[in-house]
Amino acid sequence: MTAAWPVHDPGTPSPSTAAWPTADNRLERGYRTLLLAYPRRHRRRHGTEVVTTLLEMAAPGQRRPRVGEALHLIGSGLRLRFRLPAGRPFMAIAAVLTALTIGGFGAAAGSWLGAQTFADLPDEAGMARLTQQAGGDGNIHFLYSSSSWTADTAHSSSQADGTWDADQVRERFAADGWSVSGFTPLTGMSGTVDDSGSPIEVPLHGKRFTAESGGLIVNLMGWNPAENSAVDLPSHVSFYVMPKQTTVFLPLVVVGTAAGLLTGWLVAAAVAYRMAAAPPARRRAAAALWGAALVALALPTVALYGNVMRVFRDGSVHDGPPLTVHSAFTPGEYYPFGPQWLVLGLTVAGLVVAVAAILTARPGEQPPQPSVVPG
Amino acid sequence: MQEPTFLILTALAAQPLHGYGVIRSVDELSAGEVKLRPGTLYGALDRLAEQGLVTVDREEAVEGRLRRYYRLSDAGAAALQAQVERLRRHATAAEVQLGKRFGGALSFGLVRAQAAGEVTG
Repeated sequence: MTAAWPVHDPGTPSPSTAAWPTADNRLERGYRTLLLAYPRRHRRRHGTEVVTTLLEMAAPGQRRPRVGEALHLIGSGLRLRFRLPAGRPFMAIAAVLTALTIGGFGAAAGSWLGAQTFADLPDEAGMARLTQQAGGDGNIHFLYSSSSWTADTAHSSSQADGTWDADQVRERFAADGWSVSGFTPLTGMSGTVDDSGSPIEVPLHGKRFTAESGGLIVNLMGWNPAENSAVDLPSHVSFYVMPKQTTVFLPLVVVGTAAGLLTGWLVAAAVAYRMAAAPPARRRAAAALWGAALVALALPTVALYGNVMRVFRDGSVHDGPPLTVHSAFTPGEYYPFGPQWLVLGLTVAGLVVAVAAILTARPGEQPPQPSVVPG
Repeated sequence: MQEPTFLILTALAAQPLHGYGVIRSVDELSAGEVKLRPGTLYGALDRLAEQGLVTVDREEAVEGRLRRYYRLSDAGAAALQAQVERLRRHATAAEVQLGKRFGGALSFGLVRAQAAGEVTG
């Protein structure tokens, strides 16, 4: 059977029934598939009548939706997904705030994905090998550190095995395939006590260089006491290892932010229509919960956008480990107040309250829909 | 008010119509200039229903087919009337402005015609 205006048969008992369009099943299925681009509320409300209208407009013998029709239906459906209920300015403000909030979380997601492309930090055995290569003795002290602004780093600090020989250490790294930098001379003082227990300062001189290989950067410093110092201090070597930022990192942060903003607007539009359909008491409760969720998520969002700003403003001039966005969730002191888990805790609380808002805004009793049987 | 919205309200002013009826009516009212597509129509009807400008008059359903008839609400009739008056004011203003322009062009044309007559006459 193909789509057509039915030919009126004088023998047909009901002219009104004869006026209903018939269709090839593939055409109707095609239209119903295209309607998936529409929000569910719109499909439930208008799906069958839109399909009826489309079938009434279909050309005789048409078996599939035309390309123009398909693009039009997909475009119209997507446009409706972005639309907010009419005459509700507060919902527009809430939608903007929701989009910005989820945009920040999108940036964090992009940053996390980007960080998965960073090289892994050395494990305990790797750090021991590097310490030995750096001229440290067998007594290794190392730790991993995380921050609310950057990728994680691994630190090592140990006494040198005799006098620290910068040239020899750098040659060892170069011979092992590391790309090494030039030396930066260092001077300093070390406070200690002499044999009589009196505090004295011992001048130190040292060198620093970096070595890079396999997406990792080692920032290495060694110190020797001045040759004529009054106290015999051991030489010292320390370094930290950090991943190098990869080329896909910044594009992923941008894509994540854009995807977050779009998703945020779509979520806001869907929630706004859900609230609009809810009975007044539940609508007010849901709106209050949604507002509370946005308030709870405000500090995490500001922290995330703060990190986005640092990533783009300071990323190319920053000497330390690569700046990341999602690191704001790392327990620490992003804000100079509140507990260390403030950002993470508020995020979890905000999401819980947002889910509560969505559940509260469940639709009320809907007017009865016509009992139509899908064709 | 956008033109498709204006024409949809106009189509519904006289009688309730279902979706395809609105599309055909708009086609006739605009002398074939505006061809509404179903996505545009139902997006507009949804918005107009939200704004209380149209309401569902009745429904007919047969074997997986549904015709929902829409009619203009009182608020919709008032909004359409207000838009008609606004368009009329603008049309009148445009006519006045064009009249001034046409008047100037006409007098210029007459002078040229007279001059031509003198030469040939």
